[in-house]
Amino acid sequence: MTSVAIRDYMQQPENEPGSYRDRESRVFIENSHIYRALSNVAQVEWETLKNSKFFKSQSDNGNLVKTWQSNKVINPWSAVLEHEIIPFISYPYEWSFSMLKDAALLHLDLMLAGLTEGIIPKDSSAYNIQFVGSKPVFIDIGSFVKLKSGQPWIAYRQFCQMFLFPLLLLSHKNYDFRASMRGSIDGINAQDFSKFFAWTEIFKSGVLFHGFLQAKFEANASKQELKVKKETNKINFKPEFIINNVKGLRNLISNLKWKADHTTWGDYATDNSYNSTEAQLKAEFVKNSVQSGNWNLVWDLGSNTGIYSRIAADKAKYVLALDGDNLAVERNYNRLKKENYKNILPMVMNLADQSPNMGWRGLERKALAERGKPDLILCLALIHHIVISANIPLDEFIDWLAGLCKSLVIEFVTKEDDMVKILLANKEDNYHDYSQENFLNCLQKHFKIQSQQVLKGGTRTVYFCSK
Amino acid sequence: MNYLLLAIAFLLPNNAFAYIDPGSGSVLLQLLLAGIVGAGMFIKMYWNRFIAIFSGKKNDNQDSPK
Repeated sequence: MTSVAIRDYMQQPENEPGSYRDRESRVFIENSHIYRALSNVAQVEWETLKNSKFFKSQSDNGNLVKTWQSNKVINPWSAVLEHEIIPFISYPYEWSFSMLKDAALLHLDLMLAGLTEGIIPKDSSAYNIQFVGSKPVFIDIGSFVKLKSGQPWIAYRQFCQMFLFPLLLLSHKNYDFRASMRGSIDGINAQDFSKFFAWTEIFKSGVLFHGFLQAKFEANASKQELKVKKETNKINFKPEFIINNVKGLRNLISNLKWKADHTTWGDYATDNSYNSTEAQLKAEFVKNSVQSGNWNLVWDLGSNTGIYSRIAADKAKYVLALDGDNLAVERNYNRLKKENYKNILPMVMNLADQSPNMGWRGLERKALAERGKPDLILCLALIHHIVISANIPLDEFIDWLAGLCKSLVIEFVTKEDDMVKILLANKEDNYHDYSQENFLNCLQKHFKIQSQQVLKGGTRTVYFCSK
Repeated sequence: MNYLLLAIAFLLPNNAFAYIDPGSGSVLLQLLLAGIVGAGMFIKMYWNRFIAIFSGKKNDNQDSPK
């Protein structure tokens, strides 16, 4: 498992702290290059892999991250590979349903392709997969090894914990897996998964065999003596067992659907509060603002349908379409796949509780801003939710934005706006900091306003500003 | 059928002994799944021959499974 951060000030290769579990290979970062150092053992596996048809075809079609042998020397390692950089790292607890589903299908398809040449990934971590735009890419090249004769699928249990159980919970129970994936670095185990289902639900796909039976077997196996393990090691496991299991899982997962409940923001496209002339004016303003510069990384906060992400994508190397509503992200992702945008990455992100530093030493999984700061932020139709719904002080929110980016397109929504009236309907209006005057004061502490556009008869104004 | 018996034995309650790698349970499940998949394929393979016996095609009795 690896995670990647783009840094441009390193002078010597720095060990990527999230790369530690696999003793045979380790990731290093230097000057925005990603290196993978291999032990003797890993080097032998790499020689097999790089000469295989599997490696060539899956690299050509983009399923495997582009990898090549490097001349670099990192002592005491035997060999060094270099990988193409993933533009922005994301984690399974930031993915919508179909993103995790597509990642799972990629993992299984790679297994089926690799097994035709006796190659298998030694682990099934969901963190082995990253998204480039709307395409999942497998990055843990060090995971591929030759399948030993008689060996079972060692990582089957991990596949269930990281991919299958989270997907089944959302599909069968409408239980969003993200909180569990963020709370438990190893995913959801069979025992916990089984607790969600009554015995009357055993015929839901995956529940009886992969869920209940695996939980039962695990619980009983832990009560036995070591001699039982010796017995299981004597059994000659055939590769066909693995292939059939993988095919079955592939069928199961590709048939999973998420019948989402209506969410507040899932239907935004059809029932938002702008008329079409206003919407066009706003889009024009955003387009003109974006056109004024060249951007490496844009964050579109509260991206919802992703309409403004797409405007930014024309002039930016990469755009993050962030939204706290997983259905909105799901819909945006599914549309992006069809439109074949390569530089927009959708992510589920609650701005009031963003992904923190996590895992071993708090360095294994990185907080959002640690992975790459934006040079432009779009903050449209959002600030009233941040202050009034999430109760974040206006000045703190603007300070946070200023700490991240040099340029900003931001929309202020007054208390006279219909939407704000709805937000305040059942609350006492304690939001004395929430006024256009205070907003402009906070904004101008950090930024210079370049242009602005009034919308909706004055209840909304959008600003483009920069430092 | 050793492994199936072993698997079934695990379903019976037992006293707690020394800790074992719980991954063994998942390995056993894979074997059980393989057994069940095998049984399903077996039935599928021979179903037509089985039906053919009753529809009067006597030749099929002599054929060996492919």
